[in-house]
Amino acid sequence: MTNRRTFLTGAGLLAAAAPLPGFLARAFAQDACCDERERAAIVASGYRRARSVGRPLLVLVVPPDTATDSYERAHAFGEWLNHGSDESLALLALVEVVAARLGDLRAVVPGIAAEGARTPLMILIDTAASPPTHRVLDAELPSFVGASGGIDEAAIDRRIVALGDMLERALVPDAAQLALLVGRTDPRSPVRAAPAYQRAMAAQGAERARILRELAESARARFVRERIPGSRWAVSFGCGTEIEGDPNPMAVDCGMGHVPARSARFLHFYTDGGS
Amino acid sequence: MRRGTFASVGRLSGMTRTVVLSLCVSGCAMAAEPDRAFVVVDEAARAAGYGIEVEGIASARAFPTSLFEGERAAIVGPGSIRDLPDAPFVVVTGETGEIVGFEASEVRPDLLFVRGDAAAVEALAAMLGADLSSRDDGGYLLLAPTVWETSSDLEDLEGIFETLPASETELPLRDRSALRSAALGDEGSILRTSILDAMPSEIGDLVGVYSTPGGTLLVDAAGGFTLCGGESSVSSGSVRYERGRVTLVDRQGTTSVLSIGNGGRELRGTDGTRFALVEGR
Repeated sequence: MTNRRTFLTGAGLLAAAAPLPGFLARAFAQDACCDERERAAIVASGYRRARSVGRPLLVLVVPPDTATDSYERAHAFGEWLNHGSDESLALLALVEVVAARLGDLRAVVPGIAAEGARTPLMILIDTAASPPTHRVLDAELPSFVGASGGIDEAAIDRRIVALGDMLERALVPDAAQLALLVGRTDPRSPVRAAPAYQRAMAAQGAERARILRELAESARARFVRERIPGSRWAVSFGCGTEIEGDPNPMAVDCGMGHVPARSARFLHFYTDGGS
Repeated sequence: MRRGTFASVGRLSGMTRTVVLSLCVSGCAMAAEPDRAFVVVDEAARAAGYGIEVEGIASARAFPTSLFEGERAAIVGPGSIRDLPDAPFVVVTGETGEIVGFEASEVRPDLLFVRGDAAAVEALAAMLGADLSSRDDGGYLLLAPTVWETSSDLEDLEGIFETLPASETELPLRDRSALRSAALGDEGSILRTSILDAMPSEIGDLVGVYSTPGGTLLVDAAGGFTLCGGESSVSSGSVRYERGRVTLVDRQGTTSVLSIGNGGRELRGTDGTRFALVEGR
């Protein structure tokens, strides 16, 4: 519950001056705040950041607690971000990224939570459109647990490629779409990844690789070495989970599971319990 | 001023060495191959007494010095004379006059980073016919196809403190660590700063969650709002943006006007109630 004294102060101010209409006063004449405020703010802040530099907003969708694929999804994102190729991660330099539940997107795409039965993997939001438009990025990802119960490394490869391809098809399906992104880049902005990406696409060989590497490094600096808003990085090899920046590891009985090396660092999502 | 008339810097050594410059030839990856190399001496290095000596004439300027193949050049400073590295772009930096070479593929040939007074930089941009953009770190970028060539032919201008190369991602290159971290490494802070500086001009710029001690106001990108003061008290309606303020209209048609403050990070009621933007991280 909101601190009662704080609430009374706010309500008292409103009542004393009474410049606000009835619905505002009634709204504040309660003693609780929206529980989901922080999570909605993460998405809204990401949207404002993206708009300020003329980029789309990519949302890594956090599945509901009841979803059966939460575990694999968290690891699949981690595999892509930590082990994706320069070509794949260079795309992430063109967007802002947050992790959020569909319901937390209501500030940006009202009504999206009611769409479809399945929780998609990602949502790409066009921040230049008003109101914003969005594209759903989704596919069935293979499990890293093979049919025999062992680790399927090839499945991890396929997941990494699938996530990168999905973003490429939605973000820069052709030269015209890339030109749109370039055109939306504020010429005064010091951050001009889309023009650099366009130069890379026009280049070949070592020059192309060099620009893509630089763009990928910029994405790694923002989304791999730092945390993605709405999530934290966590590491697990099957015996406890260490959330980066949190001194208290989550204990799990050793021997209960095995996590492939490339899947060990994964996204730990914020949920109703905080994270 | 052409190089031949550079004012000689008396405290610099008169000695020179012949340097075989590595000019960019067929193997270079740049779109337009430069026919010369460029050397810049940053402000700190110049203040410490470092400069460049070409064909026996020493100078210490804020602008690049261009070097053609076969010219004798060296970096000179307090008690020292050093060869130029084998690179088409060279920066002499810091109090110790560290010499850093950059490959053509690491430098944008059409961009020049400039630090100086705003008026002086604007005048320089006009002189060079270059597009000018300001950076959050107080520097500027000049964009023109031959900005290095044309700027290296200029006399020093009052108010121009230093020039530097810029990377593909348009960050100033003073040393190689800058290039390594470059890769938009500090982009997060740039983005955060740009939000602070951006002035709202439409409802999309005001999307966010705003908090006041009594409740929370959510402004959405579709032009709606949701006001939450408690689990059983939620109001919603539409938001109209007008210059410097927003008007909330609830479903009963009641309106409330809030002024926009702090670059869109705050909405203020007429009684002084402040809704502060919640920064989600």
